[in-house]
Amino acid sequence: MPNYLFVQSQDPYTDRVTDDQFSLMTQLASEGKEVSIFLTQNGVIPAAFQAKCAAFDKLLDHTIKIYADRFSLEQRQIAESDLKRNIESAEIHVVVQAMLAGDKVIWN
Amino acid sequence: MELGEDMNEKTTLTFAFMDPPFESERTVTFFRLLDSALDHGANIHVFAYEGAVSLGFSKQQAHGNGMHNRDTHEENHPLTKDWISALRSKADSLQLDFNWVNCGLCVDERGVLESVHECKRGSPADFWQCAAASLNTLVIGTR
Repeated sequence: MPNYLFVQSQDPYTDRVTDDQFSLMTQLASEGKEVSIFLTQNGVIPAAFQAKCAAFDKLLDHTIKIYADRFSLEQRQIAESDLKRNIESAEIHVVVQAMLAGDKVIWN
Repeated sequence: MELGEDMNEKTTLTFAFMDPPFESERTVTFFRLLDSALDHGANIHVFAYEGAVSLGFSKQQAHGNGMHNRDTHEENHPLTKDWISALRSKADSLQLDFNWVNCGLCVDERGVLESVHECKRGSPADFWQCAAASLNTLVIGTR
């Protein structure tokens, strides 16, 4: 059974398509698939605890591993201590390691 | 797998990219991914199509910034053609393959015929062959 890593560059405040993207992630996780998300670029914005986004916050209640690109966080002055629960800052190597592990890596 | 860990068998990753230079943050993220892949000991295939065929355009020129009173040297404007060359040099030093194919139709459409020597001309069939021969493929589309 393949694992899924979504590279989430789109943010819910400018791209409504993220509603469907987040829905697919939760659906896969609910079906028992191993799902991870790597937030990058503006995709890290809803990860800040001050950010209000119900659709994104639902992801936090599932068994989904969520990483936030450290580079993108620094660009936007979001400190690691500002991240919501269950979100971990990480380097972009996470994406390459998933590819090398044979995971399905999908760019959003 | 830990960063820097030797791989018993070198694997190949394919990336497809379609963004033009100097337009989107995706370009920076894409090049960071390529750099990371080399750090992990992976051979790399890139298929550049649509606007991405301009990433290796050899006539890109750095410029100063008069508004901020900086000359060309001080502005240190990044050029994607230089990033491609740098990645190729890094791959060579690591004894890894770094193959970059520009979609020929997309090159002709845009008239960006002069590319740095690291870029070859090809077709979507090259992408299919690269993907088929790779452990994994990531397609980064422009929305």
